[in-house]
Amino acid sequence: MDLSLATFAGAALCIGLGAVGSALGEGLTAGRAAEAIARQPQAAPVILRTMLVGQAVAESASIFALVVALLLLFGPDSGPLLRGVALFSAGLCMGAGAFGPGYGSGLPSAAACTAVGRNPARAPRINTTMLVSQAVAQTPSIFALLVAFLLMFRSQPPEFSLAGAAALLGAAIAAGVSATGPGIGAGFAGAAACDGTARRPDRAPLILRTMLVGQAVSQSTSVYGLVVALVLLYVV
Amino acid sequence: MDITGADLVRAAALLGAGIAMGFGAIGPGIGEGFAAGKACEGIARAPEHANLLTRTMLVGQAVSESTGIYALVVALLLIFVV
Repeated sequence: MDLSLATFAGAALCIGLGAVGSALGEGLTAGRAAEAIARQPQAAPVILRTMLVGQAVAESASIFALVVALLLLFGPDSGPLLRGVALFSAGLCMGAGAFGPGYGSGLPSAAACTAVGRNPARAPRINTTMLVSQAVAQTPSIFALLVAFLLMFRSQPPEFSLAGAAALLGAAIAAGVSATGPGIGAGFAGAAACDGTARRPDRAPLILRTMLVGQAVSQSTSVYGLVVALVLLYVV
Repeated sequence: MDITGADLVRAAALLGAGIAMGFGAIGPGIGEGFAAGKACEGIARAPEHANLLTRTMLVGQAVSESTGIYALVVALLLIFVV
């Protein structure tokens, strides 16, 4: 049957939801960079570099959403009904999964712009903390991308079953929506670590270690979401 | 295609498992991030208390994690028991 309705709706949800978080995070970063430059105009090139690097990482979650949306738009247009449910679910999964990591990786880069403005000599150290924390904040979006790809490229049985459709949608919600909290939470931790690194550069390794331990614990719920999604896809 | 009541219950349980785990993960993730952020702030201000701060952070995060684990338990019950 014709799957255009499922793929178009999935692509729209995917990029529609997926663009929000990154845009918020990058806007916050740009605002903080402007504030920092207003306070310290001679440090403008260093602040600008931190801003652009941070925004590039925050953008990656919405780039994943764009890739999935384009794959859905130019993907298969006919197949069994269950395949349509899987394609729609893939869009929902990646769209919901890009919000938290996008916004969450914007928080450390915003804090890093302020921190670099306050202490431009420590920019390399602050940038390292920012990039490490952003990488951790991005992981839930990679889980969502993984589940979206599994949903898109796995063949579905020809006969429709309500339980099969519910399992596909449930897997998408489990992996996609569960990315929101850990993404934003890891961003909070990263923002505080960038701020602390600027205040006490001598304690940067200790701060980075605490940040990573805290972020690892806050990531655990996104791993639960991935596990439930994989169980719904492969065990049920 | 005819849908029986049992099919409906099974489908609702599977969709419910996804919803339980997906939305249940939001709170703990954000809450634990707050705790980690405040611990980093505290260590920047008072590095000599790093061990105490890390311990407090981990205890607080463990409590905040509990609702995420409830969500996981409910999701697994819905998948395997219902």
